Amino acid sequence: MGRFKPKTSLAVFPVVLALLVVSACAADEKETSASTDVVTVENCGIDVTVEKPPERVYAAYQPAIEIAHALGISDRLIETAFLDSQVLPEYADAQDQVTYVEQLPTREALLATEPDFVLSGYNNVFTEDGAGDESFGTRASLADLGIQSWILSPLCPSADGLSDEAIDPATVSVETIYDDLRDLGVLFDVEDRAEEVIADQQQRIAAVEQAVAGADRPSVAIVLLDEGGGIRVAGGIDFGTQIIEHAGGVNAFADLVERRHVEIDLEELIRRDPDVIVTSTCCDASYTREDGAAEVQTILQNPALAGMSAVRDGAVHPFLFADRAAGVRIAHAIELLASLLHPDAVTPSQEGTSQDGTA
Amino acid sequence: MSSLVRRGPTPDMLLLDPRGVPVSFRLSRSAVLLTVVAAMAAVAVATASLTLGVYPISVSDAIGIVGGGGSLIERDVVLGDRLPRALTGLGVGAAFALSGAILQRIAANPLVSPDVIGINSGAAMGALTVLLVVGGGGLQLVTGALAGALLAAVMIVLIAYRRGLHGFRLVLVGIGVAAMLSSAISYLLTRSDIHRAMSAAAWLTGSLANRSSLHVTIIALALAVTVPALVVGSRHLRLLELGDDLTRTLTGAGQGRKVALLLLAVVLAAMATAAAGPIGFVALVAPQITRRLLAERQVGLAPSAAVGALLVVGADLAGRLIFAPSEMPVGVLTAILGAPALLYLLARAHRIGAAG
Amino acid sequence: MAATAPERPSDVPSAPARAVVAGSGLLRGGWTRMLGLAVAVALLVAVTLGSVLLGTLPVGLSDVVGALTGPPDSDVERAVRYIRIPRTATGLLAGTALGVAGAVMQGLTRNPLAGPGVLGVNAGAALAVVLAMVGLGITTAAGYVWFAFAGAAVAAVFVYLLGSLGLGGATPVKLALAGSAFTALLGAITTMITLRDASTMDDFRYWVVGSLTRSDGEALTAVAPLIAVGVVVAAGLTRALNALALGDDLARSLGTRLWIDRTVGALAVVLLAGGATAIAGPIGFIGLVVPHVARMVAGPDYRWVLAWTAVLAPTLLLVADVLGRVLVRPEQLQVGIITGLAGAPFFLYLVRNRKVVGT
Repeated sequence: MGRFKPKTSLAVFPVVLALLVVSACAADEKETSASTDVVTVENCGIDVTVEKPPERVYAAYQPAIEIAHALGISDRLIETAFLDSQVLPEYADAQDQVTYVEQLPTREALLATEPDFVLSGYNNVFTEDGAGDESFGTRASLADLGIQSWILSPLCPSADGLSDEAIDPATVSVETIYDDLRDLGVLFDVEDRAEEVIADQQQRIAAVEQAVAGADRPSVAIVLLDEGGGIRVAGGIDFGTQIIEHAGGVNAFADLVERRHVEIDLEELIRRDPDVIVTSTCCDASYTREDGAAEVQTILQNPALAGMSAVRDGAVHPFLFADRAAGVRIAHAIELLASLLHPDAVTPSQEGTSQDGTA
Repeated sequence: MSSLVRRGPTPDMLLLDPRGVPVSFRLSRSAVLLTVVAAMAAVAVATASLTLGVYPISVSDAIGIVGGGGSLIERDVVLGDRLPRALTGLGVGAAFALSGAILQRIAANPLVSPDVIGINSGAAMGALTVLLVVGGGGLQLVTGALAGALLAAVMIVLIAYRRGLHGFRLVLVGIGVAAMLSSAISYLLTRSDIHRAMSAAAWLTGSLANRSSLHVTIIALALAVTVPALVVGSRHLRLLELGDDLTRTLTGAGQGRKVALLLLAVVLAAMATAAAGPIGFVALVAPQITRRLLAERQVGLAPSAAVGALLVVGADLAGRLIFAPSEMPVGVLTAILGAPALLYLLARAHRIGAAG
Repeated sequence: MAATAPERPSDVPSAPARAVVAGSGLLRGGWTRMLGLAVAVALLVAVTLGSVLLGTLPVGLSDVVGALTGPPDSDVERAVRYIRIPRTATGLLAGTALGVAGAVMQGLTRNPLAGPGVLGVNAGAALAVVLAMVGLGITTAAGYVWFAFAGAAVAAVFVYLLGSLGLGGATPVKLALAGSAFTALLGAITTMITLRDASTMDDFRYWVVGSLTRSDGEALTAVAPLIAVGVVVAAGLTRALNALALGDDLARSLGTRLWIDRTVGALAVVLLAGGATAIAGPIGFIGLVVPHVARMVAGPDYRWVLAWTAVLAPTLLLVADVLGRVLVRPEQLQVGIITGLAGAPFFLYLVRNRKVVGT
């Protein structure tokens, strides 16, 4: 069911013809430069083809925004949308210089910004009939208009236009992030930079793993307090489980694998008595870990939980929802969590500096 | 007056009597007037919506695009986005209004509409299951919505049918089913992650965003199938107003026709929900507004449909313009526009008792 | 016959009039009803005990005694004192309040499908809570208890005033119509606010499903007296409700002053429904279904209906809550889900098999 295809395809012909002519001319120029001309990389089952590195990039959701900054293409960002919390300190300056909107735009508003590339952290912006207003239309429909798109691969839907819940947890790991970085590096002609970022992440994660090797692995619960008075925890398939493991711990609720966040009874938390509890702060561009302090206090002051090891030891810490996403924050998140789980072995890296000085 | 259209029994009424067709229609002048005015206004608003919005399209651009020109993106915005949106809005508004008008007659109760008795909730449940549990979209979503609504309707009829389909029991059962589905929907919303829940919540209020020819086709089909049947069945609707006992005496086959009319109302609401989500309030308000603008004891199907269409396209345009560059789903606007209108009319009620 | 036929198009059923005269119900006669009520009370006590004893952590009677006498000194005793008992108390208070409110509403509006949800009370509470969350940043139950209460009260008053406008005053039809309109309007405004802010939406979508776990002792002791007053006022109204059931004209001829009764009734409803929503959030079906069950068992006399409702409603609510805790361990289902899913089929059974409506 296309969008009035007959008339559209009639108009497409002259445009395609023009593009071919232009690219033929451009190809001559490009042969003399170091960059390749037409580049194709596969993403979530769709071939993403660019004639030249995209210049007008729209980034939606925190992982996508931060990956753009990490790859050094901040100057090509025309707009960013929907952060869950503040970007990492090393990207703060870059983010300040880019337009930011709190809510996702409609398809029309997106088109009005004239992007040639849409980079998204989650797949629900490319659903077919909108599922409400937060959809840009399918990736195929954007490609028809000359706009290429990318979904960060841990969250590939099973087909274009869908918004799957059922992401196979076995497919989500740090390797998929590195693959994305490499692929985007190729597309944007920043392959060297991409390799630097990957090396940095790998090195930092390896350093942490070495520091905590052989130590006891404390049990950790990632807890979300609901307004319902209920409580949810991050289960086994949440990416946070992997962060915990790399940081030298184990998810106290790893056995709950039905979905990402599972609603439990408060008594279950008491029964499992994790060694460390971390909270989850989300959904505003200004949030930092400090904004989680109130929730930490709520847990510490709940009289029902007074007997728990984590509460007695004061091992309840704020943690960001964004730090549980699969993106370029993982090294930071793992370092942070390791410093909370093994304070004697790992000291938190100073805010604002990273191991290789990439700013 | 021609021989086709004659003066009716009262000065206000016209009689339409096509030769060779075994039906005749009694129309009232005020009903015709209201229908024409509302329909023209609806079409005007829909046309204007082609040029209004975040992406700048001037009137001359729009004319050029319709003629075959314009850039790829401009054509996508006007023909691929705003046009299906306007067409779906017109159709859905008419369908919801018709559904509400029929149900209100069958149940002899001004409170009744497909939202109240659970049809829309059934459609929503079906759609959300596809959206949040299966992870589908497009045609799958539409099928889910349809299946959900029809299932809910079947359940309601089966439970409510006891020596006849009485209006009051129908309403009660519908309320029960609606509440049950509403719980299930709230539960589904708590199961998914926040990003998906927000998308689902927006769909649940009814939205015309990202419509395509699929949705236009669905609603056009629904109207094409049900409107002729309604034209024939409108006579029975009028009789239903006199009460169950009387209907049975006069027609002898009252129950069968009642179920058939109910089925039409359900199909209209189900298809409309499949096409645009459960836009609330249109089905309740449009017939009521119409009823209060016309003299009593009229079926008022056509004027209701026109008023409903106007309400929806107007609300959608408002939702796009007022909250630009974001937008507010049309269902929110129909409630905000429709509810005060209803309350105002309620306050100015001229009759005690029935219908307020 | 012909005289009543034109009246049928309104949604006022003629059944209660005939039913009052006939005195139907499973139990006939004062003593049988009294005995039955005693059994129901015993059941309530049993269910209350069950609610305190059943759950994830193993609780025995000695633990309960230990928790109540002196400071709790084990995890189990803490759970009893700070989780189980407040939860059970919330269930008792909210259940009674919702049931009685529903009975009064049905009597006042002569409409079997009246309940706190229908007349806009829940919607008003929900909107007030959202405003507290968004405008004032309040995210704890103790914080927005008062907002929920105020919102419910304002909505009920508004609906009543609106329904009274125009000729005829607050007829059942107009009242129900006003309630429906107001509910939809408030719901739309609530959606409008929550859609614009992800973190509010995240909080709100859990609040809007009722739960017994959100109020602590402080909130409960604050709201309990208000609910108690509401119950007392409702009890005082039973004679008037019985008279109202015969129809406005007949009631007037019996000497009742309609507008006083309606106002006092509205006050009772506000206290009860508002209080229940404040401590537990919107819980559906209790107010709608239980009065019908009471009528089914004990006949249409509102003295019995109220007494039976006040006992059956909390029983039902506590059973639903326990099921939610026990059925899907270690996860839990909020009580609002259970009452919705379980209450509805029961209601439908009632409608189908009993003369709830006089046709």
